[in-house]
Amino acid sequence: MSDALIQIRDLKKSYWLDEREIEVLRGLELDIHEGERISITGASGSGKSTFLHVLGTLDTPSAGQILFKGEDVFHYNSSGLAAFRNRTIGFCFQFHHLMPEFSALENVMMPALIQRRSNSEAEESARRMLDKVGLSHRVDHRPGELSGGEQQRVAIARAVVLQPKLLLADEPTGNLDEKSASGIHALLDEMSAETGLTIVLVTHSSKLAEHMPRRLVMEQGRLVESK
Amino acid sequence: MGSQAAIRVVLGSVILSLGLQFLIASVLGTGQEGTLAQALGVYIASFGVFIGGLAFGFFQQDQIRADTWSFPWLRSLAYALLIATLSGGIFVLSGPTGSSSLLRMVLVQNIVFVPSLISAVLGCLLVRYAAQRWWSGVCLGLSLLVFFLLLATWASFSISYDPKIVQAGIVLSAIVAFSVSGFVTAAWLRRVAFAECTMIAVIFGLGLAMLSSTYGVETLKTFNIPKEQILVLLAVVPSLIALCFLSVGASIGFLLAGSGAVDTGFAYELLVGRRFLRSQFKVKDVLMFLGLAGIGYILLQLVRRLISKKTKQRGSTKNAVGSIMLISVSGVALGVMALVVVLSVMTGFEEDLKEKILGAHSHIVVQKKGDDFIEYAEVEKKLQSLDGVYTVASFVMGEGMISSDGGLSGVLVKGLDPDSEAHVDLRKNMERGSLDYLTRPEKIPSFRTFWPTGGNSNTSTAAKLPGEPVDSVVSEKRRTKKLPGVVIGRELARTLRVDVGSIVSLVSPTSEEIGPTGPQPKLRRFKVAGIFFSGMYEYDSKFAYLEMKRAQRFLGLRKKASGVELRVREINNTGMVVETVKRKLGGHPYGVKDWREMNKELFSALLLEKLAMFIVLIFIVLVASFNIVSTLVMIVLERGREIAILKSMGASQSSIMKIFVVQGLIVGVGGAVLGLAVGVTTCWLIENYGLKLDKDIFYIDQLPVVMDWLEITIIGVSAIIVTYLATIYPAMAAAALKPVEGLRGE
Repeated sequence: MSDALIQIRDLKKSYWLDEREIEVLRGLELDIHEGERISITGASGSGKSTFLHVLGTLDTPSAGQILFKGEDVFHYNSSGLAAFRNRTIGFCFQFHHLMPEFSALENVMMPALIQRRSNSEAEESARRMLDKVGLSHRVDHRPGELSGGEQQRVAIARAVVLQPKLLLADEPTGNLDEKSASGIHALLDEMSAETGLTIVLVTHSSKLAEHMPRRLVMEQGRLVESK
Repeated sequence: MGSQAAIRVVLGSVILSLGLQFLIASVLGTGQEGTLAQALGVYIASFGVFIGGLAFGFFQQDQIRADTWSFPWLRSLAYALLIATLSGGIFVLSGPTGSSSLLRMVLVQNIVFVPSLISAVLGCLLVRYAAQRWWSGVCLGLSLLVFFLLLATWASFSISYDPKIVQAGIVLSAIVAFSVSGFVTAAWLRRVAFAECTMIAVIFGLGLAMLSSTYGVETLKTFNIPKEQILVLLAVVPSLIALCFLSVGASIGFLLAGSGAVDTGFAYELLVGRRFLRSQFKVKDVLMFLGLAGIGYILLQLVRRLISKKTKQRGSTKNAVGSIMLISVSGVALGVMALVVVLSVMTGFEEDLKEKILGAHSHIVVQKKGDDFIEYAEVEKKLQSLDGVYTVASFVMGEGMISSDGGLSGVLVKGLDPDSEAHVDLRKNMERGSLDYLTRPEKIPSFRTFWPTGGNSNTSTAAKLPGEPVDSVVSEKRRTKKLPGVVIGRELARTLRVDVGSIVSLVSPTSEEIGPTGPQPKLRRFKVAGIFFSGMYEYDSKFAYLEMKRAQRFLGLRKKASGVELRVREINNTGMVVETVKRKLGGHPYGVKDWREMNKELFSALLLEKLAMFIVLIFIVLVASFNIVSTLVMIVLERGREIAILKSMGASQSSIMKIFVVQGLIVGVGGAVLGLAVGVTTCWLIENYGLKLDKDIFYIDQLPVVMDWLEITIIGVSAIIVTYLATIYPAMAAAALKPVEGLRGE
């Protein structure tokens, strides 16, 4: 047994489409160590996002295991999984997925509120986190009133506000201009350096991928180390 | 492949069981009425259906996924319905033809429907939860239910012996028992456990029907409906009620304890839910509606919203959602308002009737079997000291005929002691004359002089007419001075065209006087001593009161009484007094009835009418709650992405469910509160400013309104329960959404 944070064993995922089975992940194996920063690239439809969703327990695999600190996460029931996501995983999506009716502050408070922390406690940590991503002056704005880069910063703040072990990012800079994108990269670097956050990042951008110490490529439903 | 095989198996089992049923029913069923053999046939066939249902469930495997909430409800229902219809039809075609074949078909359908539904659900459950604890869930729920019901029955019986309180206690605790059983079952199974609840409810209903068919035969016979129908009703109605409250309990159980630990927090769910409902609907608004007698305001808001083209940052669909929500609120409010007003008016009529009945009659009557109630004075004395008894008075009663120069009518002659405190209400109802004239008939003013002269203080012109000398009136006066008095009602006086002082004749058909041609009716002359008006046409046209002794003599009941009347301090608490009176007198020859029992038909008809009205009007709320369902489903579809985000942040299924239940409840509670407010205000207005009625038709001059707070509470609570039930499906659908589905498809 390795001492990896996450061990992925023979992970398979397939969909049924009109009686036809589409295999997306075909026996994927991977060890992720604590504090690692990993990029995953690959052609469109190669299963990057699916892999990320399964890794984040948003989707269930057809077969195989994901061991988090040696424990199979899919043995939890649905509320156990929810609690697991809440405590250990932060998500950051391409389209930021902020909740439009809520202000930036409320969006960042949400994970803590879900954990049933008190309002004041949630607000305090949310303000601190927004300050860290440089948005302390825009806390009461709704996502619609923020620029794309700012929205993505809020999303990152929300993802890490509860200090998760693992940050899963799906094309976080996919629809940002270069300047905003590099700002986001710098932010991710900073976070990782500061808290030892493990990051798995799916991207098209080879530039962002090169930024990461460990680079993987999704090929034929498996992950291979890129040269 | 799976579904085709399932269809084949189901069809096979249907044909098999139907064939079996056909065979048995037509070979063995010989009599015109349903014989044992026929029943046996039906039950054996039902068993076949049962097996078919199990197979059905088994072959639905591919439809039932343990990781989702899907359950082939519709298919199970359709399956049960199909089999019931088919078997009913075939039974009618094949079975012995009788006049009641249609009825029998309905019966057969009902008999077959329930087992097929159970078996279909059971089959699906077997497959779905093969590894989980569904069986123990059902057992747990059922045993809890039985335990609580027994406990509640025992408790109700030991608290009081007033049958009304016992009944209310049993009903109330049954509701609590259903809810608690549902709650515990769901919390234990950690899911909403709808399927299990259905099983528990159906088994409960069947059990109840079986129990009452075995032990309640006597009670069943008292209904004027065929026994089978009552049994079917007993199986279906309690099942539905049980299912309703089991689901309420189960969903609350899942909401609060679905994640394994008790989690009563819903702060952020409330926040999210309210934002989803879209701002248009703020608590402030609700308060404002209340202040402004709201429905009009809501309509105004709606119109304004439809006209206004400003969408600000909100999408148009979201605005539509807001509008539909407002419509839902006003729907619920309308239903609740109608319920409050209609039921209050009905209560008003009932109270009015009650008041009039009690004004003319006593609260409790003690009667003796046979016609030798001589010891009435002792009974009176015995009862006088009892707790809660206000006055005691004996009376005699008999039938007779009354006639005057102007008319003729049948009457109930009642003899009473006019000086007794017991007749305060009658005394109050006197329009002309006085009850005291019964004992002192010489004081009765003579007919002519009594007439009010309408402001003219001179002697009436009639007296001065020639041909009517004054001394003839005087001599008539002298002759009639000794005549005893009788008090009659206003309508009777009108029919007879008499007034105080007039002479009437009473005829008693039961008399001991023997004439030349055998027994002959006794005829006595009386002077009208007074006229009363109770407000009940039946009383005002049917009663003639005499002094006790004279009535005894007239009716041929010397020294006997027909009964003893009691008045109690609290008219709504006669049940207790009846019990103590019964104990004091020691039962048998004496029968004790209170006013409710004496007017049982009337009040039970009123109650039935009220119940029917309640059911009809609650349908408005039901329709409004469907509105809530559709709106919530729309919101769920629209908010798929946000639900996914919340889930990715770690919101559990019960948490997501809470968000949508909260939204539905905002609408339901808002609508209920609004409806109650408007309804109560309307009632208050009617009560205080009145709504005139034609007195000749209704015998009452304005619409009576009495607000019964218990009724209003029941209305409010049932409206909220109905809307709450409406939220469960959309909320479950939201909770079951897979996060990936919400995140994909950008």
